[in-house]
Amino acid sequence: MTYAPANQGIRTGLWVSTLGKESQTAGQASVPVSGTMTTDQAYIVRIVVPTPTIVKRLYWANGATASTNTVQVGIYNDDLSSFLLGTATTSSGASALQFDNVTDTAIRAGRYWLAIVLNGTTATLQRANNTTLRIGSLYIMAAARPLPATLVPATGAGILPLFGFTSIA
Amino acid sequence: MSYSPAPILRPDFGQINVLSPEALDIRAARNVSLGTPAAITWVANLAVFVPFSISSPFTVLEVWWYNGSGAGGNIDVGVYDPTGAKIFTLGTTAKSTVSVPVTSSGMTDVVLAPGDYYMAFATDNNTATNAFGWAPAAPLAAGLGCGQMSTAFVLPTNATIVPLTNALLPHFGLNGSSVAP
Repeated sequence: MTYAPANQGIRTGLWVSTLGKESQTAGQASVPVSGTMTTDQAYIVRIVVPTPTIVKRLYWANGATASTNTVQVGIYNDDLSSFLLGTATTSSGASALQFDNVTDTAIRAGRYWLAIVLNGTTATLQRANNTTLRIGSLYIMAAARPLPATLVPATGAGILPLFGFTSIA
Repeated sequence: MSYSPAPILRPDFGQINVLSPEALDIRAARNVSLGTPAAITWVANLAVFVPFSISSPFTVLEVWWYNGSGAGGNIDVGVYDPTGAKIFTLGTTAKSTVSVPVTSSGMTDVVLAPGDYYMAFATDNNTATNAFGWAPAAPLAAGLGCGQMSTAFVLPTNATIVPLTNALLPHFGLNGSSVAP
């Protein structure tokens, strides 16, 4: 008899990020390096959450220079309304992940957007830089600090920072 | 009303490894420079943890890893829950032939229920090129959820998993098929 494995759905990972499998940018093979971000400009990335999970922490990957500037991460619904906004937090810990503990928040399966904004160009993030990244998956919004109640995405340079959320406390 | 897609169904491949869709996913792995794996030099007693998630039960028949070109030492492979509690570990196992994939033998089958886990790899020595995998710069693999624990050989009962800072990621996995990788 032919082997017929059980169907297996795609389950949301413990870590959901702009470079992870839940992002449309996965596979672009543009390896992130440390770099600056444009002040007060939100970087917006489309993701899909395959199954319900719990958002416990937002996180980002700092570049070679931390401190001075604040970083804020948010999750938006498919309709661009805010779902969960993190706290603007001073960058700390060069070349390391940094976390923003949030109230545990259940998130349903569906389409969402991740957004991040910094208030200056001293702090750096780990970010890919590839113009092809922006096609259908990466957008920007100027004057978006603090992260707004509603996003208005625009096309922009293909700079993609590494950030996301985790269901691990 | 929010869009809520039906889950995408697909069979597993009979094994779960670092690049599997249940783990980092090869597409995402490319984003953090995980290309063709090669021999790497491990940090003695360092354990590395790779997250994976399954939507249906997966029976682990054996575990596998890939020996580097440097000889000597022992390895351990296991699975943990998201809190760092051990589900199972192989136990210390002497490395054998260099530069080949190795599958354990005689392991008691372990059924993993649908859920989230970490698979763990550790080795107890730092002989040059003694392991096989990738060297993603910190904190890129950490950004995909990979973790580590120092002084963790043999793999402990309770692991304290912190974001991966060593540029080391082994090529290893769990075999749920009678055909070895």
